[in-house]
Amino acid sequence: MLSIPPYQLRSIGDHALLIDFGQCIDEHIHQWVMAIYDYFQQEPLAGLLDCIPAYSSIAFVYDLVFWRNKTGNSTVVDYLGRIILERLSHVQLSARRKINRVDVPVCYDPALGIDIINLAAAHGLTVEQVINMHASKSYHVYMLGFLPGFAYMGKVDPRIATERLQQPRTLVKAGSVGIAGEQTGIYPVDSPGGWQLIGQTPLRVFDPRKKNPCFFAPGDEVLFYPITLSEFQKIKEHESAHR
Amino acid sequence: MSLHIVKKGILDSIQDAGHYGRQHLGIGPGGVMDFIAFRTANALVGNSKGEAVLEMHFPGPVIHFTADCLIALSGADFGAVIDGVDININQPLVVNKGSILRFQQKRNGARCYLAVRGGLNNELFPYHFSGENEVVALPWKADLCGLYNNDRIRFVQGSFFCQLSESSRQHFCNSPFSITTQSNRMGYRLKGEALQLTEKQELVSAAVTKGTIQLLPNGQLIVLMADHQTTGGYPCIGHVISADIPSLAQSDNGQALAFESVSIAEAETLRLRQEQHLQQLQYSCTFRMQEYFSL
Repeated sequence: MLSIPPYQLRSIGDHALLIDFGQCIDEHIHQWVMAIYDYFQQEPLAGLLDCIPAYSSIAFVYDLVFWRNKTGNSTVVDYLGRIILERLSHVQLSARRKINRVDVPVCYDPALGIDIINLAAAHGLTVEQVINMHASKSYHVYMLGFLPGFAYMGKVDPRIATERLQQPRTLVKAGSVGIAGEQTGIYPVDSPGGWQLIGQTPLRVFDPRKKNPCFFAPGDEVLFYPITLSEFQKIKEHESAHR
Repeated sequence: MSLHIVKKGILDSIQDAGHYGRQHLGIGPGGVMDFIAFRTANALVGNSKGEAVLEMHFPGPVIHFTADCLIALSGADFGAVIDGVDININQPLVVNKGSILRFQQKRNGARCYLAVRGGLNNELFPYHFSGENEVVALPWKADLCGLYNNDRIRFVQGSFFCQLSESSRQHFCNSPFSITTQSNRMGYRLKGEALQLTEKQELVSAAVTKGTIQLLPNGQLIVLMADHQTTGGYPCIGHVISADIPSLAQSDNGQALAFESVSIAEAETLRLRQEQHLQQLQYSCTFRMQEYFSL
């Protein structure tokens, strides 16, 4: 049986604790992050407000007053920290974790992926090659953050990994697909942003009117497939009509 | 609905205690900036502690009451006037139908909260005071002495505090930082002596919380507030303690802040004491109201 990789438990302020596996983007580490997340979903702990998985860490945000009333002379950080550590000893990597696989259409036309020509040139590639490299593998959703529904996925082929823009744009269109280093992601709403934009999806990846407003969840596997500009328009119209 | 906003104020919003449980999807909890004022205003009108309120900034809105209501203001003092009569914050007020509430001048604080008995979608308030005035202040006030901390903003150390250079650590704890105009409900951007880490760090993103003090690449600080992002990749040098978030929320652009380091144990105790005070306030208000109206 695999044992849990080395980690540190530390507080982040007076109302959150963090299990930190160190600075890395690693699918194996992230499986442990998600196993811990799943365990706390299945065995909820009163007074825990949020569990936030990230690349190589998971945070537990708690109700300080609720816990402080239980801990007597001990601090919540120590008391709850012990409970969390005890729980970690029960967490196992399950081969049966149900993985949600999602296919995402992306139009890589330079009209929408406004950085794709420059990005290809910078790596000595053709636009075709960049599209093939981006759309030929599945990506792991490591975490959501930055904006509601913004999924940080990785890792892209090292041949197309590209640093963020020097000067972030003040407006990036919702649905824009970008690359930042070895990460790729989709802007869920119009926002400022510094990722290199290589395409756009017609899907609405964040819709506050839906019961499940976010298209992605941590742990999902995502496959991008290329579509033409006219297919993009068609899906987009269909999406708007069915809101 | 017994309120009609005749003229919008700057950044008025309806807020409650926030909604947790979706931060794993990148959706922050939001909620009021100043929970002391929020709880106080609700307590004064006999609401449950989580009832939604109106959060207002200066210049504030002009509000027309379309029904008789019991209201209270708390937080910032914006010189509120109802039909020409000056009214106090932190005091319950019976307002008659047709009255108009305005805010005349910013006296102190940055955010004022309006609670209405029964909530902003309230039912009719069954008392009408006839007389010359359209507003009657009930004869008690909330005592918030000791709930806000006006001198210093207390913080617990973050994981990168020890990696600040010696002089930066000194500056952080001993020099003033001013709140810049780029501050809002998401975060306060501060301006002060640029701080430095002993070595440069590239971090993968991880969760952040309300109160997290991030060090930006240019050496300046940002303190995350109610509408903060759920994750971040900047080094965290500290976290404002929960008990002092309301004090920070009432600190305004241009104001100078000083930081003071405390232990987690102190932070927890301070928050617990503050909560006991707020509970006490809630009980007293309920008692006074029952006595007054013999409800």
